[in-house]
Amino acid sequence: MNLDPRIIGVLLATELRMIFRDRRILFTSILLPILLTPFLILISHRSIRHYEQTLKTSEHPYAVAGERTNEVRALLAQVHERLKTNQQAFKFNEKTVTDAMTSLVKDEVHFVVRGFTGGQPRATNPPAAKGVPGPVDKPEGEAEVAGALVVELVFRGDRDYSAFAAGSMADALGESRRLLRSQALVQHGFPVQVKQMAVVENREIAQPKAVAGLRLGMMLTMFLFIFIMMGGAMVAADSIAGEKERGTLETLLTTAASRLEILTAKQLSILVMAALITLIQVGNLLAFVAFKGFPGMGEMSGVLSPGIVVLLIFLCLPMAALACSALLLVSGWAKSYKEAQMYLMPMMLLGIVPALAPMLPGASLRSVLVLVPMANLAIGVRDVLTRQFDWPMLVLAWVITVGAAAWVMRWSARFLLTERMITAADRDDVEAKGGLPLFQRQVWRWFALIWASLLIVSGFSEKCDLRVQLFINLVLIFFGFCCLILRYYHLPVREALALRAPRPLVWLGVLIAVPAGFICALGAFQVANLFLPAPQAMVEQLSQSVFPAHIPAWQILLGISVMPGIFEEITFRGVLLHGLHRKLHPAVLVVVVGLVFGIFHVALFRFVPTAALGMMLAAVTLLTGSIFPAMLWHALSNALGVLAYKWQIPENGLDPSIYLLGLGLLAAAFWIFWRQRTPYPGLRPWRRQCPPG
Amino acid sequence: MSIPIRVQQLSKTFFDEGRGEVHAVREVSFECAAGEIFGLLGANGAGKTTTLRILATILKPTSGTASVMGHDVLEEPEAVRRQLGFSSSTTALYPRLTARETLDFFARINGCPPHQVKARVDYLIERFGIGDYASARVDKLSQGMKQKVALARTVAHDPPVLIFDEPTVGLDVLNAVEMQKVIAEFRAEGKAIIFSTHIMSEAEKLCDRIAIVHRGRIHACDTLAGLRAATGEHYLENIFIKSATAAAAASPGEP
Ligand SMILES: Nc1ncnc2c1ncn2[C@@H]1O[C@H](COP(=O)(O)OP(=O)(O)OP(=O)(O)O)[C@@H](O)[C@H]1O
Ligand SMILES: [Mg+2]
Repeated sequence: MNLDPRIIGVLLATELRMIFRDRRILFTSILLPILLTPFLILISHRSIRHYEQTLKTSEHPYAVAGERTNEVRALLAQVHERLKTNQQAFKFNEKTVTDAMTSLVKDEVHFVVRGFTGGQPRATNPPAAKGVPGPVDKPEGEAEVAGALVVELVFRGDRDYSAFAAGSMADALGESRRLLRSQALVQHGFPVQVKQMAVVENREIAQPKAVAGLRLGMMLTMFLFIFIMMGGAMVAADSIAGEKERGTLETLLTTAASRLEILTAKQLSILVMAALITLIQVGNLLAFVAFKGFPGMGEMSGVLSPGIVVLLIFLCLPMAALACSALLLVSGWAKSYKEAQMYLMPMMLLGIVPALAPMLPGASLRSVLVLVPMANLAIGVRDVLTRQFDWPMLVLAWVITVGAAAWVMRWSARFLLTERMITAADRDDVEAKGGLPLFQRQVWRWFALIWASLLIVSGFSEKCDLRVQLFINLVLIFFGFCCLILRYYHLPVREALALRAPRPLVWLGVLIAVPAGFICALGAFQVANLFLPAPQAMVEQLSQSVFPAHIPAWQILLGISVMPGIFEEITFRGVLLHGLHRKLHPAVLVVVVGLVFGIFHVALFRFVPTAALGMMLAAVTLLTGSIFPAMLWHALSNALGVLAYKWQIPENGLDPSIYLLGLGLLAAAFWIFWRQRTPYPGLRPWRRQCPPG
Repeated sequence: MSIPIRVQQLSKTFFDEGRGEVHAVREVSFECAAGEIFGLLGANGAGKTTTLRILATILKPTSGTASVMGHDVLEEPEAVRRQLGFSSSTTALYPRLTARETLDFFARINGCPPHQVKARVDYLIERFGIGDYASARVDKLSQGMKQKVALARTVAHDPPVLIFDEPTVGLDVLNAVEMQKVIAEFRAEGKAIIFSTHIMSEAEKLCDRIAIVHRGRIHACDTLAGLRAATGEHYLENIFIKSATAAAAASPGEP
């Protein structure tokens, strides 16, 4: 399909001309949002209040530092004692750390309590560590009294939980001090200088800019989303569903414009409207700031430097594109304007959920959230506004959301192609016939479902025994879904799972490939580590959970080596590969199957080695046309991993020559596979075949 | 030069929730030359619209091939659509555009070179007598006026092949006759025209060759004189009924 910019221009201009002649659209897309904005602002204030409530009920770790730690601890113990009875009260507990300030910077503790002797010189500057803004003036507070204990709370204003925890702690300490005073008065019978007991002061180590950035960052995406929905929904409903209803779509589809051009123009017209609405609303918002003064919005000008604005636009574009594609999809799905409108309302409510992700306390890009389109960039926007630039994760988030937008767009393109567009048929022939063609079309839906099930179930099974977890994941979820798919589409089991005997020499190749592939995957991990350092703590934690001491070795080998070898292979090199093998070019197929395999090993730092292994396994399956070599390889490779751990073989920092050796052996193994190849049937040809003659 | 329209062994099967498989078109073959009006004559549900939609690349054939000016409908759908003008009672005009904007839009989008668009639109307005209401919005026009604009938009890019699917449905006698006149003019200009109808007199009057379609199959395909000779009937109506009943007797199993 070709994309001629001139044709798209003509389509877009006409589309916009028609939009601006529709009073219905002008009213709902432009007038109504302007009137509704004040209402929205009110709601967002409320939701921020709710979020503060959430902060209050979670437990906050802190560290104690300074010269007079014992007295500080005694003071805190009193606070603890007093608050214990109160269910609603702010919860905190001490964490022992080596260097309190570094831990604060690393987000290991939410705030630091420092004890000093009043009137004496002390280091006021927090360590010049990366990520901590410069020194802040000592706030005006109570005067220090020489010799008395001065308690200093150090926190980060650009971290919601930190600022909140320190504030609550200050309040609690103040309250305790008042109680102490009355106790002292009663005990001694004469007035005591209260200030000699303790002076509490607050120090924030974040700049006000960052605080304003946090506020803006939490709401920006949500506002953007709402504006796009308001501006785009009517246009989208009008653009495909409306045309269908009026009968103009058939006229349009018989012109020389390609489906993709039509779709692009429609998408652009929604985007233009959304941009227009956003501009109007930004003006609206600025007027609010000017008249009423938003809390904390005064520093906004400082937050938005030109560079940041460009970056923000860059981050917002995929989100806008995704939202518009989704709108178009709904419009293509619906048969009439009314029907489209009916779907759009729930979609708007549903779609706003990911846009709220930055409001989750402590939500970060270094979590599974990075894999959720829209939510990941929403968090990215917040981070950028608070000056946290986690480049690799930002790029990953961007790529994922762009991919999602493209995918949704392709999906809506299919609606323009299928017959239901202009005729009454609800299902096309592929859907009616079922079988492999239908599975090929729906394969991604299934794997998204499997992935989501794994994620949800792992949330519950986390505390279970390892053996139970493995059983649930491998047998119930993987194998269960595979059986379901095989049955649902009536796929022939032997073909779908490639249950064919390979040539005997292939087994030799596998035996060579196992250690070679293992070393190469480690190498890939090392290379990836340069870009995406894996947190050491996570690596250790993983090995602990994988190999608990009390489980006998044979059970570990069964659960970690044999069972994954069977069930994961059935899932990925069996069902997934079968579902994709006619859709993708073999080379792309290998990469895609590997990537999906990597994504399923949820932890991010395991992605690269597992994806590398997954690609090798997919390649051997395609070359031999059989799943058995991959099963053996997978099982042995996992067993090798267990043994490497048992024998304490260092997984990193192997000699470069070993990696070279591994690469060489791998090449040798694949040479064998190639010489002994019995390719997977039904693959696409390597090169596009020229038509004869 | 390639044959303007060529249809070979074309079949289309729909899958309908309630009815199951619907064989709308079965192994239909025909050709249409330049300067010829080829008529598809059939009752409701015969499969005329489905055939023509496949030619216009809106639907995909289940089997068989079809090509327009040598371009295959499956291989080069865009090239096919650039060569044809498609008009049916269900292809509507954009209500919010004016007549002039409509013609301008369809000329451009069908690949008319930008510097020629204005001259072409002016010519169309002149030729179809749209001048008086060229700047009025389409939704304000009467049925007859709309019909003229729709005809002008069908030939906006001067395509060599025209497809008319029951174009006179819903028109009064005057407008229907006007429409037939214009289609005959297009033939005189050397265009290849496919014309579907269920009205016998229309087919009789206008078509050079007629295909009698019944339940998805073409049962007879010839000039009017040829059909008369083959069946021994004079009136097209009787010819139609004769071949339809003969077909039903020949293949009683087909729904
Ligand atoms: N999308 C569809 N799904 C299921 N069946 C369909 C679909 N489109 C058409 N049909 C069926 O195919 C057959 C042929 O329909 P078609 O519209 O081609 O007939 P036609 O000759 O144009 O009739 P009419 O004179 O009513 O326009 C009919 O039985 C119709 O119900
Ligand atoms: Mg019809």
